[in-house]
Amino acid sequence: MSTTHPSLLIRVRDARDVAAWNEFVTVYAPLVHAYLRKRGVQDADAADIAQDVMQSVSTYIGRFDYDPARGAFRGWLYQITRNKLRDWSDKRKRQAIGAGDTQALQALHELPDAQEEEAWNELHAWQLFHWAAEKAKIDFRDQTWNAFWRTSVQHESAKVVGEQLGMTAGAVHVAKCRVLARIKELLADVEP
Amino acid sequence: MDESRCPDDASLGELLRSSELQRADNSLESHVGECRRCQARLEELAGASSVQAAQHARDAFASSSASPFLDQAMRRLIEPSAGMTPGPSATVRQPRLERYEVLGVIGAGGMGAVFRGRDPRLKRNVAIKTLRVADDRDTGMAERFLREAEAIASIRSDFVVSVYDLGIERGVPFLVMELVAGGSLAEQIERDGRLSFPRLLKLAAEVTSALVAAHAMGVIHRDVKPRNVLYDAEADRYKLTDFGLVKFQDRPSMTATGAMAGTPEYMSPEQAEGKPLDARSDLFSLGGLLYAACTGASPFQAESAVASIMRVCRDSPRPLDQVERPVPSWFARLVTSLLEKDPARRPGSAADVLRLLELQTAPALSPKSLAPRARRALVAGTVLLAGSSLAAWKFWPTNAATTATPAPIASPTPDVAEPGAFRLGDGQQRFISLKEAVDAAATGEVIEIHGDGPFACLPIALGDKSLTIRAADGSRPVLVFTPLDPKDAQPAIGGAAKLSLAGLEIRWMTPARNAPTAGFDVAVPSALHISGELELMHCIVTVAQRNTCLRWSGSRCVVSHSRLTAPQGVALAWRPKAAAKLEISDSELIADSCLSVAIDASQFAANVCDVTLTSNTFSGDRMLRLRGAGGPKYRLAVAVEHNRFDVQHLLVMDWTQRGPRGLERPGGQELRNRLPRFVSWREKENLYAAQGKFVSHESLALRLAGIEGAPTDIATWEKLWGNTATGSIHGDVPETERDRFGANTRPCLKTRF
Repeated sequence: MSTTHPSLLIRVRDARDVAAWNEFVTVYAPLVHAYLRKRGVQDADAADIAQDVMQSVSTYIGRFDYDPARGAFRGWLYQITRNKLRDWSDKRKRQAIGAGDTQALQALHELPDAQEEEAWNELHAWQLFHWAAEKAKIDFRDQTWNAFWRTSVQHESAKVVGEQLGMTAGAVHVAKCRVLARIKELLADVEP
Repeated sequence: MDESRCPDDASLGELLRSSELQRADNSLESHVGECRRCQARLEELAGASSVQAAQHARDAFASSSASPFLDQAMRRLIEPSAGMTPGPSATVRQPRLERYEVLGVIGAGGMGAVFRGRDPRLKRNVAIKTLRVADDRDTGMAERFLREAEAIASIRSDFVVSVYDLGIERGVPFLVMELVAGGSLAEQIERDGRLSFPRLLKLAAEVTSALVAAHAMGVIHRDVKPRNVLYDAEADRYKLTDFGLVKFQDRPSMTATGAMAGTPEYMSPEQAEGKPLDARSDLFSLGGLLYAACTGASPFQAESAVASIMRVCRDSPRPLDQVERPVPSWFARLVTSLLEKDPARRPGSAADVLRLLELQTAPALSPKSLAPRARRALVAGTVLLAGSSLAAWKFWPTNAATTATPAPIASPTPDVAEPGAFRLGDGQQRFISLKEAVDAAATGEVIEIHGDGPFACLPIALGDKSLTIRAADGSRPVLVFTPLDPKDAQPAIGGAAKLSLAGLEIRWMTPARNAPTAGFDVAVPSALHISGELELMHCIVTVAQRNTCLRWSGSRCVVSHSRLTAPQGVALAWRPKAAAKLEISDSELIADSCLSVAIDASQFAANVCDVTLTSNTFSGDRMLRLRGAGGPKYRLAVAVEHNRFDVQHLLVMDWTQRGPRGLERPGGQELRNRLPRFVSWREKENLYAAQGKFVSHESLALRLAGIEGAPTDIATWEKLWGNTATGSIHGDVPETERDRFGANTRPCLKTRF
């Protein structure tokens, strides 16, 4: 972890750092959206709520106690998302009852708390990985990145991938690890 | 593998860091290709372990990737100028309300002020309306305002000024809204005198659409007037604003002479008199607005507020086809009917008004596809109003062909359903309204509905006609029934013979009621009132607050794969006659009382009525409410299997009997002796809510206190009925077990009924 270069979570507190905010949105908005979709919210509504969540974060990030403990931000964002979801769901229920709208009365898919948070954590892990993997693309040749993606994520064998991409099995392994190393660097910059 | 040839960490590290352009050391590379140990070590150095954990979640991510809505949302969040450029807004302090910058004043009125502002996050200009809270001590006012504002913000219509955000700053509530450039209708009228007829029609359609959307969300505007209609020059649209906020205005300040501030020329008579309002009050104001747009002045203009009010309550303004620049008679009649003093004589809803406007302005509906009567009328260009008297308003829809427009769903450009959505026989005969199809059908015929609608429908009286009404393959029609006269107790569909419904969604839009009901009061409108046979399959029936979904007193009723929703009301009110059969399966009933059964001993011989409930979910306060008086000598044979009872009180006794001290409410004695004699309960594997009571009495005192000796768990419950080992559960079950109980299938899009 570099001490000279502050992480994204720190930079985002500065309202003037537009680049940090944009990056932040790219990382976390899809996560919130995916979680909401998983909870049964329709696409358009999920996007709306996700936007709400991001705006909330932008307002309150200053108050977020930056505790280097791992998972602190993840948990904080989770709480905000859950609250927004609950508010939205309550409002819809009220509206539904008032307007006699049957479909809206269908309860959203409720999971017990522990499972929910687990689902969130999983989605978080994947989204961060996925974001970093996409970002890492710039730093590598297509061939290298594809070798990484196919072995690491699609779990194809190094031999097969190597044959198809015109690389030796060894080169595939090296490619995979180089991209993974870069991903690790990128992630360290986001949530140390 | 010869381990002595394995490279050290430093060399492996080099591999990781080497640039793409450098030629890789081939021997090193091929070694790694073969050597598992080095592969593992290399991965370790890359920090792969922590990263690989993420991949397990991949499946969880589903299809969130390609979402246009998410993309749009992200675009709105991301600011275009990347890079750290502290602009002037960062250093100059603008007055702010939360994150919004306040740039200028647009106007100030009795209610507060409207500012021009800017949202720096989303980079857009906005209008900010602050509410001047009348009384500092009225802390509830701001909260109520915000709640109302939430309802307003939920109104979605192209013709309503959008509310983006709301908040409180130092006790002052404010609304952040769409900034509409183009001025208000009031300004337009002042400037241009009056609107041309085409523009007048456009105004009428757009403001009415706005009201349809608002009323659908339960919001009454209360202050429809030209000043509250803004003109969006960019989109060439009229937009209604300032909903429902009149309530929060300062109490009209009285001047020294007792005159009221502000001119209430557009107020409805019931508003002026301080009577309770409903949505039709907005219609009156709409009439005034259209009148003003047409003639340049409100119909009740006067010198003082008090004089205006008197005119509102007493005067009948000159019809618009008799003024200097007259408009077509049909429009004049519309405005006159909107301006009726008695709300009951006005059009029933904004949706009705919109329908009429659309009918009059709709381009060619292919005349061939309409039913003969409507075709003739349309071709002749005559107004589809029976007669010109105001009384016609009550009757016009029955004589007219109603197009299938969505009502009261908010939709600025209504979907015009394919003409002839309601088809009889083999589709040879097509009608554009349900009523026409029903009138034309003979007993026993089948009406098929094509398209999803929503279709605005009038109440249907079947009489002795048996009918089947079903959705066509692939269609999932929504039928929105509105009563002609809200005081009328006619059901949406009533009949005495056999009615079979399949694949329909029925919404019965009556006013919400305030008084609770057991569901038998004929004054409580039910959606379906059938005294013959009823079949409901894959249907959804929704009613307004405290109303009833089904009222049935016939011989057979089958409900399957359906959902009945009666918020704080009754799902099925049943007055059994002879040996009747009730079957409910795979359905969901959500109501205050799911089944309310009234047994009239004098009508009832010693027959048995069978009730079979299989795999349903019952949610609400009471499941089965038994009403009757005196000594019942009948039986309800109830067989329940695999149901889920999410109710507070399962069986509710609602009768009194003569006891030594006069009329008494039954207690433990009655429970043990009488109940099992008139109800027999056989069950298998049901799930009862953890906090629910098995047997209660309708009287609140007994419901709270409980009946002495009433069963409290499965064992005593089974004992009451003489059952054993039913497999039912009282309490919570693990998630995995839940599927066994209740309705699992939502009413779905079946292909054929």
